[in-house]
Amino acid sequence: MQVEDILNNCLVQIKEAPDLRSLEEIKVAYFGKKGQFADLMLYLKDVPVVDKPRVGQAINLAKEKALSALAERKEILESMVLAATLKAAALDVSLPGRGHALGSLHVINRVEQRIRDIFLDLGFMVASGPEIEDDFHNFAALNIPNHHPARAMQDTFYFADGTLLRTHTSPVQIRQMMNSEPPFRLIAPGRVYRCDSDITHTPMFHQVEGLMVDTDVSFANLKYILNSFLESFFEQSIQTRFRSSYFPFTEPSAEVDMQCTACQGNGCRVCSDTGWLEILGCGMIHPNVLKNCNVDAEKYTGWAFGIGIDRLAMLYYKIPDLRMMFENDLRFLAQF
Amino acid sequence: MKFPIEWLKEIIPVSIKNAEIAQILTNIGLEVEYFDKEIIDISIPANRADCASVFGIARELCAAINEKFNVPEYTAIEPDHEMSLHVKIEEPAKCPRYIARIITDVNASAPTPDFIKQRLTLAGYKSISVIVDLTNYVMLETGQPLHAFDLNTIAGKLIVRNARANEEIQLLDDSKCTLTSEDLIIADDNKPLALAGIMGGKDSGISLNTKNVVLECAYFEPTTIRISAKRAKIQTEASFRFERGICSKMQADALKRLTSLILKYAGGKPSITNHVKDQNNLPATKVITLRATRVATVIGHYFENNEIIDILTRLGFGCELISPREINVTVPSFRVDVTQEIDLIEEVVRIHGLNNIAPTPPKAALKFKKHPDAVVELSSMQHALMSLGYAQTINYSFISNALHELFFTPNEKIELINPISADLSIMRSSLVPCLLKVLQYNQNRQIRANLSLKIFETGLKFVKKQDKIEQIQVIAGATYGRLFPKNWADSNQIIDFFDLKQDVVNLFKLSNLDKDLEFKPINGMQGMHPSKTAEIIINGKKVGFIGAVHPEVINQLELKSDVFCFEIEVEFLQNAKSRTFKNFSKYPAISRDIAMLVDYDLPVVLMQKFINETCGELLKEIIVFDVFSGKNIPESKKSVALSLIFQDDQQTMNVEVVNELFASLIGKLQAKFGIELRQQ
Repeated sequence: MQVEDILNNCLVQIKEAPDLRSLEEIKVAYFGKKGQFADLMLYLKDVPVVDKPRVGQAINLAKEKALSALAERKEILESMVLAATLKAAALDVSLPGRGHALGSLHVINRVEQRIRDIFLDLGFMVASGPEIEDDFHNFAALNIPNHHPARAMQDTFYFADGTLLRTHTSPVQIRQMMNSEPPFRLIAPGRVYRCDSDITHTPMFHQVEGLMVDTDVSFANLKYILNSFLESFFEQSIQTRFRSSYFPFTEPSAEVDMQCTACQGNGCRVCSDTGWLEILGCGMIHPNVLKNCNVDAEKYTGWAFGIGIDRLAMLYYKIPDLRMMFENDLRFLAQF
Repeated sequence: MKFPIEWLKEIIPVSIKNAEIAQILTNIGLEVEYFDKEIIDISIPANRADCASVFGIARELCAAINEKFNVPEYTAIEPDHEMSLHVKIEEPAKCPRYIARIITDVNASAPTPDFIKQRLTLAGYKSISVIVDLTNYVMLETGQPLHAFDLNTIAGKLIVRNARANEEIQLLDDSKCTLTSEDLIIADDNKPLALAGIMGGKDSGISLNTKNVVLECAYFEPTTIRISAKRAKIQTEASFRFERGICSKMQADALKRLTSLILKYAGGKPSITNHVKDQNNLPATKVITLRATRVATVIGHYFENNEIIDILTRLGFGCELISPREINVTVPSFRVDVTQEIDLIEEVVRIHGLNNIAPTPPKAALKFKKHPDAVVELSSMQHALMSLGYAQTINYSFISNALHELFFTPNEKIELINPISADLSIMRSSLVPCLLKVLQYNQNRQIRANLSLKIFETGLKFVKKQDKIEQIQVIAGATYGRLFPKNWADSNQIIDFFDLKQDVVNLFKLSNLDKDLEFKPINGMQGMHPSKTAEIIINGKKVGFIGAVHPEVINQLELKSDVFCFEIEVEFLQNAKSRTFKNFSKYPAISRDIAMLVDYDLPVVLMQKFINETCGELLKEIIVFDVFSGKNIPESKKSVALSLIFQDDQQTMNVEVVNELFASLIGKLQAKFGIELRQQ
């Protein structure tokens, strides 16, 4: 009975122990050197021999039960402590993060990269070249001799020694064709310069020119490439119309309009209510140009096209003013 | 070229709506810029003088709608008398055909007929007087510019010659033109009468009192007219046509047309025609062989022989089939733009319709490209900077003189002779000035105290090297303001040199060159802070620079924060050092710290180099973990604390060995640099 009472008291105390410290005190009180179970062992000494095994067993059993309860309670209390600690460490996860934000790439670069990727996928090479060019690479090699009316079409920036700022990226293609053997599949993106400044023109802008020269290359191929490129870039089906045109370096030449993406061809401010946007120039490379680059114009034919990157960026991202591209306002840059 | 639509519709054989006319012409290369019920305005391609006429447009339109247009034929007009001017052509190469015809007793003040006046007005011409109006009318109709002189102002003969240097003429628009020996003029015995092919002289022009006229109808070589017109800075309807190359055979007919109109509306007695020509200098008739197979190759569409012949015939070409798939094509004299087979191919496809060619995918052989491991693409560098918080900018390649001179000397400048404005007249020799302008722009538009700006650009810089200009691709960055944007969790620290330095090192890490970098202080760089700027060196070669912008420049640009910047030549970032595996030890490392006072001016890197040399292979890393001066530190000194990490590749390090090495090192440091140990 004594054992029973002690056990019951112990169990009750354990159950009601509010924290680990109290539990530790209970443990000491019952299992310490001077604890209750120690007293019971002393008491056992005085118990008649015949009763010793029975009492001894009862005590051991009680000890086991108590210890088990202690361990259980300890676990419970420990997990309560853990829970409380975890809860106290609560964060306001809605607060802003620390450190610098990711920067950005300029929208023109993004668009240029996309165009490069589209053509790289087709096995095209990407070429680049100088921006200060000479007359030969910018005009003469392209079938534009002196006094040709086409020179007036492209108002050119000049230096005192007769060199100029390239008005298109065609010189890059000339250099490439002169330095290697056909077949060629290449694009040449880059900065170009024209003496032009108004609401839709800046003195510097970005162009991509592409060309393909091989033994079996036709105008029908050019149409296919351009239509597919536009659909790929604008991520929708695009209607185009090809208008016969004149460039000294291509023959036949065409200007290509695409259906206005802003209004799906119904007419709006972007397309001046025509439903069409003039988007690029192209044509079959003039045999004179191939000959200037030492390419056999009988064996090979080729096509070329040129497109304005800034314009594409404005159409795709709905940027209203070209001049924003070069103001570099961070509120503009950060959007891309 | 603008003109009334009814004129066009009057001369074509079918009835057709204005909108359809506009669409057809645009598709075949004659872009209609405007049309309404009355007028149509067509953009004439640079190589098609024949389209600068109502007849020319009519011919094109008819070809496109499967009709043939025929230029009317004119009957010869019998002369009433034989008065004539002697015509002498001194420059037959420049003027291989000149026809003069006198008409006496005209009524120069007769009214211009209404229908002619109206057509001219709608085409944008002012009605001046009947003779002049009729010359404009025939030019507009046929494409042949004509001119009329007052016979009574002409002394002696008509001479087609080069002007003498500084000879002068007052033109019809009252401007005075000083001529050169390259300019072709029409003159009489005494004086210039007209700037040939461009504009007539005022004194010899038709007035309301004119009684006797001399009509001029000529063919002038295109380049001559182009050069003279450009030099004199004059552009007229006549020069527009001549410089593009008109038909060299139409002069007689055009003159007949004008003569008959004058006789009809202004009366008069026509004289004989004086037709001077130099056959050798007139353009020869071209016959070009067109291979129908070649058409298919270039266009990617099969054309039957008769399809080709039909189109070319409607356009005025003569065709003769000489073999199953070859046609000899005779080029009409009004098509100066057609000189080779490819020009004919274009004629066929543009009339057939570019939109009627079905697109087909091209075929080509697959080819592998090189993809070397040890090359870093520009886009990787751009993405790296983006990850480090930089915003990419794109700036004009030209800047103002003032901006250039902040960083470079005047004789280094590369100047445009025709810039769009003074602000954009010098090619930039560095990208940094442009970045500073961007910082300035943004600083003025945002709340400054919150600004944390990091921007970069990649592009060419243009540098004068002796007589040549080098165009070098660089990547440049600039920083302004706070290290982090204003934020509850971030400090208010301002960006400094060492923040930027780590960005530069990170860029070179892409090329595996971060351990090969050397930063050498430089104090003479214009525009940069003399004590906070370094050249970036790899293997003894300068590849870029990094530093603080000079306070004076900051001031001049009204920037309100320190600015740090770097610029590196992309070539040296692109060629990476190849990577090969290097073994690292699996045995534990031992760390030893050393804190010391050193001379203030001693670059810490010299100590690092010395320690590396002294300790050899067992020293794996030196961490510079504390550098400061000021409180408790003598003025000429600074405190430098280093952690040295020792590790043996072959075995667990013996502590005794480390201690010995360390002690010996300290002694050497004291001897070499005069360091004083601090408490550790």
